Amino acid sequence: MAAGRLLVIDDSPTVRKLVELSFANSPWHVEFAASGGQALAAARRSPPDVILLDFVLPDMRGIDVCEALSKDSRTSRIPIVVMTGKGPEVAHAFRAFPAFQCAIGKPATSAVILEAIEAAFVKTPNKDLVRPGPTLQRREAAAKALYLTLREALAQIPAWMAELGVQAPAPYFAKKLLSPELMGRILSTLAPFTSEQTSAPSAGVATSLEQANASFQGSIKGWTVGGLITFLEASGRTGELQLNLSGETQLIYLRAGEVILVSTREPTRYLRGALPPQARLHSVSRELMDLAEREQRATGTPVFVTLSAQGAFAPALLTDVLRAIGRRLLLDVVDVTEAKFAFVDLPHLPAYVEAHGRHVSFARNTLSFGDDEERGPGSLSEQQRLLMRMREAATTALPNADDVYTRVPGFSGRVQAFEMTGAERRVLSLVDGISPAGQIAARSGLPFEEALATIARLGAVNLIHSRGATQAESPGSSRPLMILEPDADGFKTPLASLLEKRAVPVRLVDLSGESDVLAAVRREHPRAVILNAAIGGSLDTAKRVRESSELSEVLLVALIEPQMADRTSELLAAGFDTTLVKPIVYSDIERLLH
Amino acid sequence: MSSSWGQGAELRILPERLADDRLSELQAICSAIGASVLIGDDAVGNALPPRVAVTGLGRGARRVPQQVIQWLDENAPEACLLLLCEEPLIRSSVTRSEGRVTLVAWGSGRELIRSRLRMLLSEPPPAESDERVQGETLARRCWTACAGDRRSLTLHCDPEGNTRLALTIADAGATRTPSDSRALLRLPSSADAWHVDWPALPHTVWLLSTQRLPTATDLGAVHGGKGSVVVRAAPGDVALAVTPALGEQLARDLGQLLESNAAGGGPAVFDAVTRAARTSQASSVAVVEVR
Repeated sequence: MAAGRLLVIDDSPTVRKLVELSFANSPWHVEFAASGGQALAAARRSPPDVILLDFVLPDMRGIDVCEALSKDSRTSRIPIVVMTGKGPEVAHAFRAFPAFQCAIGKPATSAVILEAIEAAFVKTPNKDLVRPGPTLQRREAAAKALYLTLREALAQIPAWMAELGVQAPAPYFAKKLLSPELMGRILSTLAPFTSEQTSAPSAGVATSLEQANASFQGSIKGWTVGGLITFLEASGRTGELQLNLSGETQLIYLRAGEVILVSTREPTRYLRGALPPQARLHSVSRELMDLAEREQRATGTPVFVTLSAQGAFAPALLTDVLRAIGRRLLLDVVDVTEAKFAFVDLPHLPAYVEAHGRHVSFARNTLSFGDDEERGPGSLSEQQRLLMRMREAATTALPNADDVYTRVPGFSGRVQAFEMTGAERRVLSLVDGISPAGQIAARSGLPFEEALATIARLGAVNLIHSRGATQAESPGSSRPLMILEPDADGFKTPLASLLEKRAVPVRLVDLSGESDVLAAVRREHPRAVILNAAIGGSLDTAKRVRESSELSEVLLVALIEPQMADRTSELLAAGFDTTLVKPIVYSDIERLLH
Repeated sequence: MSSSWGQGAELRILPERLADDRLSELQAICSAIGASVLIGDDAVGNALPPRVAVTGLGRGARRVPQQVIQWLDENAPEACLLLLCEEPLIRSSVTRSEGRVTLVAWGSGRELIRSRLRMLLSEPPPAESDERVQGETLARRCWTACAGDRRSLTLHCDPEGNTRLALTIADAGATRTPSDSRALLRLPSSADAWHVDWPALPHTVWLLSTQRLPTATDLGAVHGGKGSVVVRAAPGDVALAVTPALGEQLARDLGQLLESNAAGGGPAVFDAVTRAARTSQASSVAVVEVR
């Protein structure tokens, strides 16, 4: 009997169980995917030897999966057996794909499935190509290099034994083995093998490496940025880690293995999201802001550093602001599983990093309140209770893939209290009150079970709940949306009409007639205030709302005419939480309401 | 319309979840677009499978009924499914599953249902690389339609699903290949952005959607002269291009014409503008709708 890895793509638990039982006593290693998207990701990550494919999947058709596999050099040669209720007559649709082997009826007996899979495996003419030779050679070479490096270290254990004395062996040897020197050597040993997998690092990365005669570069695939940072921390290195994430460069500075500052070359991204109150810039001139943005694009120096040097931002606030934004940027990327990186050993970090860099911590599950300030609503005991529930969630059962989750009433106020990883934010953004948990997990790009665990965690801290547990929002409890916008027929009236159609209608309150906008906002305490940035006084209104502590939960949205789209950074810096450019899409308004 | 039991047809109505009055209404809509229709959930047998199946979705239901999936799997695995629901939807038409499933609310009006059926019955784009698209075509993420003088304004779809609306330089005549022509509007296969270019030729480009605020935007007036512009695309977006520039009267009335037809989606807009363009100097009209 042949032995290999089989990937079964079927959303039916019954079929999956049948296949599992069919191969229970075989040497085959069987993996499962419940959707096309999940299957494609799994097959690309680690190509199996044979694929058993259902004809109809929840997110795409079997033939589309087959087509996508055939277009990817990593998966194009994996033999495919199709399972369908239509039986063998659908085979003609798949014949165009060389990897297609046969179609079997559904339901099929164990014997039929086994026979088809074995035949597919044996009949594959170039099955060695399923696992490309160069990859295997690289892995072997990397393993040998790592072995040689570790052998040298491990050879010292007998000598260390003599030194051990009465100390506990585990911490003693851990300290000896995981020294910064050894971790650095392991990284250097593996770097050439990692960089071989890198295809054309970005120009920015390559340039920096040349300039600094630098250390190593590579790709992250199948592990996380958080893992890379942990590794660098353990190595005790000092320098600049450059991450290239979908064309954007993020800079992470380490001093003796400690992350002390995080920046990015894109000022808009740097300023997006909830900024600490002291980071809001109300009176910076456009010219100065342009200068600061140019500097950040060129060198990664955060805008606040340049503004501070120009006397437009208080130096005393710099350390805290850089740390808070750095933590947000770091949390955004720790779960990313695909990125290019380059590490540059630097004898001296940039002056502003040395002066204002402080430890920026990250933890994988940071769905908790900030560590050094009480930011959330509720008492300390409430926070403790939530944290307890979060920890309990780690051990509770994963949600059922069919469960539909929705955001809790008052979500927008609650969510401000949490610091989340990028993955948690991604999963949260997919919770729409319609999609089942399984579909959200498949779309999230995370490993399936990890995504479900994330949903469980979000539920445990009461940000979302399954529809069964939903206490429906009552119309009376809904806070309105307020708007200051001159276009009535083209904007306000249709918006009001769309908000009326919601399952829980939301009032749209027009601020046009208000003589005191701030008083009106205080009176209504809306979910969000949308201000057309072209209206004179909008920036001032935003500033006054932001300065009002009881309105800290109110989202401030700048509505921008398309001709003014380049003002985004300026508006974010002025205190707006987000911007919408006309013609806006209604789903953006829905996002504000959540 | 041929409505019968037991013959092959391009459209199949699965009546189990449709009340009698809804079924009659649906038959009338199908008749208006001239589609051949079969009613019932009996097996297709040896007849050609339908290209579109239509059924209702019960109040509160959020998933495609299992029996419908099974029927499609067994009888028409390539068919698209149109689900008609009684509940009001904020987005009047929602497309899921790589374009296979479309959900429309009865309350959105007959025009929209008619338009969705016409869309789903459109031909797929040509399989050849970057071939010029004629008439109405349906790809996974967009629907396109082109009418008039096809030498000046042409639509192209490549096998990867990228759609390009090109403005051919008039002086060069019809001998130019698609790659020579100026791209006026591009929609990548991900259908997440409109890439608009502005050649120095008279033309009109609008973006409209009932999910946009404001509903209709004259992109030329907003972005003209800026070179290439990228506007985020969203499902329900309809982009309209007319060339050469419209007559003065139609140009003045176009915004209102588009707003009054936006609820019917791309086909309704296409029909309205094509009709109006006959009386104008416009020679070509092209529409792309994101699904």
